[in-house]
Amino acid sequence: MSRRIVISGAGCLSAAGSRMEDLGRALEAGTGLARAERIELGVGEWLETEVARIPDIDRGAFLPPARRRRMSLLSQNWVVACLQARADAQMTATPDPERAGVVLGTCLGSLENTIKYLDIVHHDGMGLGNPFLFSESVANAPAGHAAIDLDCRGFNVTLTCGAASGLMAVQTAARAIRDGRIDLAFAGGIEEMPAALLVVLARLGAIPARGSPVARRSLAHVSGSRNRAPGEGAACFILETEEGARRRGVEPYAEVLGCAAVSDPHATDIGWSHSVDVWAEMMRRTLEGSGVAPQELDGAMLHACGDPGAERAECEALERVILSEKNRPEDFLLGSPSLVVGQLAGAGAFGVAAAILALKDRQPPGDAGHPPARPASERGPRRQDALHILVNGGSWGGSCSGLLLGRAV
Amino acid sequence: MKAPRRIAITGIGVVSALGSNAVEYLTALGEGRCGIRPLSLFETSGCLSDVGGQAPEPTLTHIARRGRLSRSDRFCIMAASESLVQAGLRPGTDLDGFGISLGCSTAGMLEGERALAEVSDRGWSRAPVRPFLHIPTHTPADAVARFAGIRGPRLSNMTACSSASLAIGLAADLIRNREVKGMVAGGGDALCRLTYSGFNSLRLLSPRPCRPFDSERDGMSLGEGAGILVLEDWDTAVERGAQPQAEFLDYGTSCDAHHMTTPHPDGRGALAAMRQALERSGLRPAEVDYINAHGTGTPTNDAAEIHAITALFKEDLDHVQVSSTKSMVGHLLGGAGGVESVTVVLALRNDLVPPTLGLRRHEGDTAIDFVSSRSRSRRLEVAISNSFGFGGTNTCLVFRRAGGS
Repeated sequence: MSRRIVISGAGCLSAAGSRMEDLGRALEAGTGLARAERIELGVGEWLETEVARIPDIDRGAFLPPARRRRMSLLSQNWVVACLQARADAQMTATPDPERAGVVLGTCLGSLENTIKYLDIVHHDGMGLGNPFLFSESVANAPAGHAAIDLDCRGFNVTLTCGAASGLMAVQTAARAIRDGRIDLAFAGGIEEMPAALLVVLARLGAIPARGSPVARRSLAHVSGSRNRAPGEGAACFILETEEGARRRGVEPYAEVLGCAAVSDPHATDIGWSHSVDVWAEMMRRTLEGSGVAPQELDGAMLHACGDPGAERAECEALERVILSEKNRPEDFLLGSPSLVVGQLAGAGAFGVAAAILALKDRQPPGDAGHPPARPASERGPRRQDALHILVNGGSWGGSCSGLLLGRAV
Repeated sequence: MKAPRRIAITGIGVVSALGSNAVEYLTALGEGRCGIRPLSLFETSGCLSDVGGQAPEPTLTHIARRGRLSRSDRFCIMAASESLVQAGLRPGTDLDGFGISLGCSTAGMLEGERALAEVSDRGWSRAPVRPFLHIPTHTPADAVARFAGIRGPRLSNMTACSSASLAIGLAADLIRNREVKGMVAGGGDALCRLTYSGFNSLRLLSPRPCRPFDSERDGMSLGEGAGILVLEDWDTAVERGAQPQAEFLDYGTSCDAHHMTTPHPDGRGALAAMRQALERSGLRPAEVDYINAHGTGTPTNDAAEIHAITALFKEDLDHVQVSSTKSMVGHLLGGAGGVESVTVVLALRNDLVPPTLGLRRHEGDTAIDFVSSRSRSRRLEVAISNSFGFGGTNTCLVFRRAGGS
């Protein structure tokens, strides 16, 4: 890479709270934050599942009422995360707006608004659509709002790569800075979890659920849960040139060393890649592109989606490409924020949040997921001085992506 | 230091209201035929308009499990299939080292809407939920990747009407950075009730086929289909015997940061995107022969684009010719940049400037040379394609004639 790129600020809204410290504590504890939620489906019909929701937070502290009225909750969450990240990076305004971009990842955008809009049109007619709901149903609405509120006039893209969207957004932002298109980016992911989405996921057998007799009969019969409990959240990172961060006297969280993405054409539309070769190829390419040897890698934030086949493939690939090369594999840090803040939270961007916290604060996250969550007090000896951490991402349909972060020197 | 990679376009494929392949499309462009007609895909009563660029029914007899594909998936597979054949690449065997980057805004919303209507009528426990799987906008990229056996990076973006153009730009970045040797890139969208009634709610639909840049223009026409290109590292493509159809030089992208649904009145972002695209391509405005404009036919969009083109080209305005092919196929939203990139490649290959139908008298006193009513024959060396969208996004792609210098 000709330009060194660092992550100099972060803002995260998740089930853990609205501050990075909240997230750090939750990841350290390694306890899942999903809570049971009952969804009424009609007279006497209901489903119950678990979801990790953002607690009530005061968005008005960040956004004036006039702006909030023009935004869906999803857009508000993204803009609040961006504003937090900018403050965290010690900026009061966006420097050089023409050279600043927004790169957002989301799997579904504002599905809530889309459903509301279509329900009105279905019942009242095609000519009676609500223009506000329509414009906020467009998946890139949050990125457009962020550009207005943060005055970012450069590169603006909304990636929709399923559950890997947030991670792909960070990759794309890093590439845009490296290629000289912009000097600074607000990059990350968002996701919301409307009840309709939970019902669809439950009925497809993608998340565990129970329900009233009629509702239960509609659930797909699968052996065990195929995915972790879902979560909502927004995670924004400031990516900028190392020189830009240094000029402002900011100590970055981490340096972006490299990334790669591959895909599995044999994965189904509701399945993750089960191919060890595909996961291994992604890890190998990420390491090669970063110039980091497997022996130098200190940890990985796993995708760990909960699907046994996909988890086995991810772990076997890790063993094949990285752990087999290490002298003391037992010291390797393993974490998976999806067990804590929920699957899909931040469209996969929370792996980046967990990795930068581990790199900056030298605080490894809880081993949520691999092996099953253990509190820090029960953990064996772990390296506290991680220098290089790999972040894995994946999506239904078979995409696998990786990002390698290093401690900023 | 390695020399920057040149990027060849070795294949194109297109489905639109003007036909199901590039030959039909080129013939219609040359003849100046309009594909915008009353829609039969869904009911439009209560809307300002009942017309749109509805494409021929997408048929895919050779694909297994095609019943599970959305209309958008099918458009994208048809266009990708044509582009791969032209590039001489066999799906499943010749695409080692290739990735995919598609831009879509509606994806399988048409199928999702039907499912939501069933939910509304029958309840969540009884309505089928599988059609909801078509709603995420990455599903067309997944469908094409499965069809073609693509194992490389799989990018999908939904950046409103800039989606497919950005998809092509992002694909080119991956080739230039040597992360892949080639990409299947572009975009596609099917018409659906959400966007049709949505643009109606914003009072942006014209009751008749749109008339971009005309002084009496009164809105846009929506369309559907897909436009997909095969982009490859030039040297690798030539080595394997492929015939480049055109060269992709670079792109520029920006954001108005002004309003969610209305462009900056001065075309601030559009100007920045075009300027950046030309600078990165190492070109001066005077070297551009043809602009395939965003040209939706809405009063505000066209005025902003005229401002931007005038500000960039200044005294070179008489050299460049401008048209909007949305007057023939409608606005494909996320897929627009894909079909319009195919248009530009065909224009460069055939020395043909397609017309803007319905343009009788352009607005204001601009010196822009709008091509109206009939296509023109002219040797073209460099052409650009503009795509601007909701959220203030702007993207400009730059193409050069294959073998141009």
